[in-house]
Amino acid sequence: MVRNYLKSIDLYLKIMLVLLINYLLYPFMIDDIHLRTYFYRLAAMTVFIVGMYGLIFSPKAVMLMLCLWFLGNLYYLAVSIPLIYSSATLTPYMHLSTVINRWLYALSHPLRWLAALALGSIFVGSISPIEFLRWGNVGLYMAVFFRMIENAIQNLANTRTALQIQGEWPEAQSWLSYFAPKFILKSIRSCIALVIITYRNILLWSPKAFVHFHILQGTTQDFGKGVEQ
Amino acid sequence: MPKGISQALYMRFSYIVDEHCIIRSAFIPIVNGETCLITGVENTSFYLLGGIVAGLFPISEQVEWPQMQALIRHYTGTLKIEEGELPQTAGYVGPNPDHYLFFSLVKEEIVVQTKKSEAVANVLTTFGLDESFCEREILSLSGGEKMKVALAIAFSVSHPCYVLHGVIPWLDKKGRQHLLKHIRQVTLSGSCVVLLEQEVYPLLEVANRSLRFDGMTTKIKEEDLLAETVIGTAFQRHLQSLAHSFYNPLPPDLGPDQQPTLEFVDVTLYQHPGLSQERLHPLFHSISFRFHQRCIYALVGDNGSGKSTLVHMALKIILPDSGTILFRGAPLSSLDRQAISQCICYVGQFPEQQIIHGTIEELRMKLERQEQALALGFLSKWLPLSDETRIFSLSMLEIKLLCLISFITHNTKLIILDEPTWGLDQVGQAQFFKAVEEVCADLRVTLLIVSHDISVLRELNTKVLWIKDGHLHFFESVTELFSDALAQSHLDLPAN
Repeated sequence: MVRNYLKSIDLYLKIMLVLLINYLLYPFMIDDIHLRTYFYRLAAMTVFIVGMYGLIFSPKAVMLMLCLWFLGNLYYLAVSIPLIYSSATLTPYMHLSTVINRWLYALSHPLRWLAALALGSIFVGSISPIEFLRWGNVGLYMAVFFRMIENAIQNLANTRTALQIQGEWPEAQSWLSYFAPKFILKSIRSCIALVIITYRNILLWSPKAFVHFHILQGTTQDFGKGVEQ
Repeated sequence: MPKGISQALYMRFSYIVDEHCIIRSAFIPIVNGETCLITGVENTSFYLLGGIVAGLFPISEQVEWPQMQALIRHYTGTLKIEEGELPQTAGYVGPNPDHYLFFSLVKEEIVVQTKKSEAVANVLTTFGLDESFCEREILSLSGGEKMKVALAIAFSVSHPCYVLHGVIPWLDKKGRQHLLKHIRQVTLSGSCVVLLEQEVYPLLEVANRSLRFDGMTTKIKEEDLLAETVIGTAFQRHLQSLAHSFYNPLPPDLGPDQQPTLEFVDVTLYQHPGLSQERLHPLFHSISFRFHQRCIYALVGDNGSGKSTLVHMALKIILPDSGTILFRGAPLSSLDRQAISQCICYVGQFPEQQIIHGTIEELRMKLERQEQALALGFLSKWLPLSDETRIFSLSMLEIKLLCLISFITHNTKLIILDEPTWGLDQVGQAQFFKAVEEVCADLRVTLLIVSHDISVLRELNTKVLWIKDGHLHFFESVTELFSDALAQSHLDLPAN
């Protein structure tokens, strides 16, 4: 229902909303004193956006995203904790006077990434390439690009299945095995392979899509101006 | 000029790519109110042949991106029309419907391609798809359903010519009937239809002319099309030879083969986990069957009936909602992924998506690292390619062979071939099945073939599993399937 509602919103409004929410995610014009307020606002926004993501897609999709995010955070924290406790400059735009503020600032990055990822996914899920056709040929290029993203997502899933069938994708037997170094190493290796193969598959898909793009150029040149009623 | 055809009725052209002539003086009859059927060598030139008649190629645009330029170089060649002329406009549907459906929803696809914003459901009902398909996401459709949508859209727009390439293998009986009805309708209204197909028997009743493509040019087929093209003699020999290396019927005393390779016990799946749209009835309702060693089984069913989903359940990619799946007596759920990949060899309908290596060298190195002597032996015998060969430069036959070879191990017990004949001509099909025969001769495997091509299944003398409305119907042989009244009314059975 939420997805259908979002789909019904005008494209311009959707783009404006995405830009506005993205702007609010960043600590523009925030100083050391207001960092705590900003962090709480960011956390609340992230919870809301991720909740919306779960409502639009599925709780399973949220879990998967959170798992990947959590895994990434482990590496991020391994690098950032020494920086928090050392005298390193975390940002040149703000003077971080206390350790708590240094922590809050460092933690705001992964929260923002999570919110931005969920927001981007909601935007992609609530839009159709057809909406771009109102911008003529430029819109058609955008539609093709958008379709390429959709195709890449589908391809990622297909490639993951192919890797799974060949035993090249890590499968945890229990929740503890997620933390095993062997599992983590295999996850990283498989993820790299997944991206490379998907890129190759998209390249293979694109020539045929290019041909169809040419057919559509003839069909859509006056699309939106005079669709037969 | 070919005998019996007047000059005004046909066109002849050549196509040159990088100074190499890849189509030489190909003759195509473009006759108003007639259907021309072209069969033969399935290569890049064959794909281009259809695209040229439909006006898709050559593409004049030059792309700055060098990687893309290399991929589309076949589309930017030089067309030399020697006689006649191209149709003014043409409707085209190619062998992979995924390439021709661009938008998110079926409804949107129809609106854009037909420029009609009202009564879009009528476009679909002409191909037997109900109104609910309008709101379906393209990504959620099965391959056959996508093809039906693509065809419904193509036929809903009036053109002087329609070019359809490789559409038959995707369609179930109803889809084929709708296709024939549309072909008859458009030819009656004066349009011309050009069909490029390998599986020709369903089209014989509408074809007015038939041509053979030899890889470079077309020739008129003067021999009886039915006699040769249902199944070619050489291909038939390969299939029968393969069939002889399997049991059918099953001997009463199987000895060590007694243990079924794969067994489904009361398996129920309410719906495909990847689909958000809820089904009224379960996708599989309490299905049970057993696959024995050294037997060939075929899985048939309508588009969207769940054939691929069932295969994914056998591979533990999708877990059932209830029931048990046993692999050689052990619950499949208890086997780890490595064990499954060692025992089950799966060649999907789009094998290029399964190949995870960039070059032959990478694949060879992986096989050497894993000490897969069997696979390495088959690789050097069936694909003697140089190490630098890039995977995406291979033909469909080579990719299918590569997939088969690279997933075979000494422990393989089950080979699953999803639409093995799709995208291959008869020579390619014969070669592929010869490789399968050789693989099977070395291993005591069970073979499962998912296919719409019943003529191939008949030659292989397979046992048949037919999925219909979530239930499974089992037949001991294709002959038994042929004699079943219900199957006759739902499956496209070739003439005896």
